[in-house]
Amino acid sequence: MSDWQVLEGLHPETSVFPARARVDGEGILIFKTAAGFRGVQRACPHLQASFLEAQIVGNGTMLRCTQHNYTFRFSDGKGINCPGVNVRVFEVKRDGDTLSARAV
Amino acid sequence: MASDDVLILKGAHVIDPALGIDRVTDVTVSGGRIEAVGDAQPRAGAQVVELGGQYLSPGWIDIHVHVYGALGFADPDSIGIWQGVTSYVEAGGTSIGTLDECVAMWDGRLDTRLYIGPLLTPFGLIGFNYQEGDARDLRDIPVGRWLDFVQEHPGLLRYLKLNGHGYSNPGMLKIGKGLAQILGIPTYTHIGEFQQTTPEPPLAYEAFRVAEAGDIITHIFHNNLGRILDDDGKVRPEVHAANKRGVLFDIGFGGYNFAWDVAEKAMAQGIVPHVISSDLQQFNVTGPVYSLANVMSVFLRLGLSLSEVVDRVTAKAAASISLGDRAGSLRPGLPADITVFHIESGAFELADAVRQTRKADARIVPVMAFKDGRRFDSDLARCLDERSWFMQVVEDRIPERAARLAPPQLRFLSALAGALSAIDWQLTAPQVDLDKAVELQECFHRTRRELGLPLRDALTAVYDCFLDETFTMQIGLFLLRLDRSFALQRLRDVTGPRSLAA
Repeated sequence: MSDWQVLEGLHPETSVFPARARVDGEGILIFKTAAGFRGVQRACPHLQASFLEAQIVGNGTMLRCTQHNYTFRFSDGKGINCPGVNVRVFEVKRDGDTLSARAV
Repeated sequence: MASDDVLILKGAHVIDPALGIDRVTDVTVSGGRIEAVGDAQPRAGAQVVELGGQYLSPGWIDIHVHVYGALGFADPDSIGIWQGVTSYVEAGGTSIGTLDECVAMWDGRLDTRLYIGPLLTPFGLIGFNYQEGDARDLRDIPVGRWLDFVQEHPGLLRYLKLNGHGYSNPGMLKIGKGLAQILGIPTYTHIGEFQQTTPEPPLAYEAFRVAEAGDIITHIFHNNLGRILDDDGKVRPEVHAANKRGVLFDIGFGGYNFAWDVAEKAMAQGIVPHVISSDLQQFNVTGPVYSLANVMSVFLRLGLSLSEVVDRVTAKAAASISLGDRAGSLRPGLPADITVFHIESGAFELADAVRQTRKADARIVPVMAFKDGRRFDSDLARCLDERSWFMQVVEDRIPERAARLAPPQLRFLSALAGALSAIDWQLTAPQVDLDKAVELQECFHRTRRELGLPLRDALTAVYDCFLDETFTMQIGLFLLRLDRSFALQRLRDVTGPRSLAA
């Protein structure tokens, strides 16, 4: 697990999500769900389609790539309908108007 | 419907290319079969359905769907009868090594008439984006078992699905062609590279050379490696040659396999598909495929007439899989498989599989279907329910349905837990360990036979331990995808002393 890194330029209320951010030099996307914020790698591991158009499903617990329906769990990045195919996920915390993230 | 029930479908615009009918008239159904097409007189006791302003055709046939295995659905009728499709063919999700499992779960249990197009490789499609079986499977084609199965299930298998992708060696295609000839069914060959490997040369062009009249090639308008156009946009000569020979071309739209520009260029050069199919599966049902009706709408936009589109999901689809004696037309005496639909006007955007779109001002929308005379009002949203397309292992609790398992099933699960505990397994990516899946499958069947439990009861017992909605998948693959320690613990929890004593 990496150190918390402030996500510069992102505001938890006024930014548009999913929003691009960078953690440990890696470009990621920050999603806002009913359960809070979560970071995910930017592209689907299947055919590298951007997750910018991905849908949040499963009551905010999963992310579905709209290209071919590959669906991943926010909690641990595990592929739900594509077992063995996983994504990197990032913990995101809010402190006032500041968002910080770190790799899980 | 009862044998003496009479149903008059009144005033629809009837399109039946097989009978050359394209006009407003009536269809009379009696005892679940077509009685007549033509103006119907009032009849005592007949139920009349007024269909003015609607179209009516023979029940649609989709020769390429996935309702079994990793690509399938918990509710296969959601992409069938509820979308106006009265018959469909499961395209490769199963094969000789798993057909018994598929048949035990689905054959005769759906409202949509299910036929099967098994894959040559014995396990059926693996799915999950893993590479499918490779040349090693060619050592394992049990011709005797294939023949026995065909004899025991006459008419169930409609084609043999072959992979015209994944490698350059044409041996698989040629041996597949030989097996199909032995079984008396056409080949149905997938062309186009969509997985990780990109063999050069691609096998697609060999597929056009191997296929004979009556064989079918699907994904004809894909835009992956192995497409039918050359670099200058011209249709390749082996494609024209196959077309002239009587090889049939099918769409198999899918999530990877249809591109507007390929279709437009190829059709301008005289390549018109003989059959329109969807390739619906859980990975494309929420787009870009949605339904067979959506794929039909694409072909309206491409310039086919409505009658030509209907022909390709009725008469021509039936003919391609030798189904003309029971489906594909409204000929009196045939089962009353009927689809009612309308043409919706508006401003629509139709997407292909590679993010190209075309604007359209009309689309085809199913209204209702009749299967053997029984009515199903269309419900296009049914397949979009996550529970239908989304196989999700319940990890945090035991599914409620596990509490309803019968004592023999619980005893089987207990024995299975013991047998599986002697096997180490782990899901690996990107190449699935097929040998391990087979080992798990054999363990399942051996245990089941020892206890004398019917196959369906055994399969259901395992599914119900892990799923809220039954997804039918090759049992070896199903077990392989489970985390081993979780799976063994769940089996023990379900079959604990209290459950077994109940």
